[in-house]
Amino acid sequence: MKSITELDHYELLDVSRDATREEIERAYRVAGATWEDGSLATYSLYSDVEAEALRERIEYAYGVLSDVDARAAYDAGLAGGATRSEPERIPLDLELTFEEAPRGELPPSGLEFEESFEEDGTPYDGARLRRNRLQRGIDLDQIARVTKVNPTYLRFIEEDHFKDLPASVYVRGFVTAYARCLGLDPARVVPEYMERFEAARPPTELTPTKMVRAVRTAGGRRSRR
Amino acid sequence: MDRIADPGRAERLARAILSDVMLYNADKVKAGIEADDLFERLREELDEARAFFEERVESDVAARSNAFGRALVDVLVYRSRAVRSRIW
Repeated sequence: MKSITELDHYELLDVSRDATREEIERAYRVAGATWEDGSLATYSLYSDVEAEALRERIEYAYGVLSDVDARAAYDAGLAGGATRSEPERIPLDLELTFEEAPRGELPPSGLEFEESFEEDGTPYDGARLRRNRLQRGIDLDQIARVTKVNPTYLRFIEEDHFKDLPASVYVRGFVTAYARCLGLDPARVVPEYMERFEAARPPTELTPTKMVRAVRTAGGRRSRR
Repeated sequence: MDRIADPGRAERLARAILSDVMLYNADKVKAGIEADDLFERLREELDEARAFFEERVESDVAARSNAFGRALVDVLVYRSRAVRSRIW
């Protein structure tokens, strides 16, 4: 049996590949009710964090499948043998390609710096991330090129501009990529950053429209129209 | 924390800092180029940027290499060459 993360969007919503828009909407409503906060399913099977991630995945799947262009691009990816969990569109597990570091200005790997940098012990917020980046002599465009994350989002992350960032599932991926690029430990950076992000961004702000917008604008590796 | 003693790294730091000044103050930089009063208009930001640079770099390296000054021109001025100005 596949785990949730292995399901494609159709499997997640339990619809066929040729499902109509109406069938997808109906499936989305059913899935939403099944996995809503406090439901028996989420209460008994998943932690709050897992349930939230699952709801975001459902929102994302619905956002893609209910948009003609996004769905066509997604179908093309499936037909081309893209992995079911769609890492090229959901930057949960960004595979950094450091060999693309620009013009030799950036250290060959975000993990290879000549010195250790100060640890002031304060939680990681945008300002601290920025300070770490500058201490390494790396500009934001370089981070964007290496991580494939839209520089505008990187800037919002550094400014703690939470309301203009996409859903937390994306931000988690962005911050993970950012931290790795600087040679910081994502296991330390991400929870500290996300705690502040999630406190400022209640899950109710998540909508299919925002998810679709995020798909179209976040990162650089997804299909474009 | 050791200060930077390598001129190449000092230069990279200066460019990163000033790229940030450019990124976070794009409108002011453009206005400063247009009016040819860039350094005056961005005095506060540039003072802060220079202080950060000098805090991180050995003072003799900072003075000898003039990395900050060169980056100032390369990053803030030269990258703005598309802006209409009497500078050009």
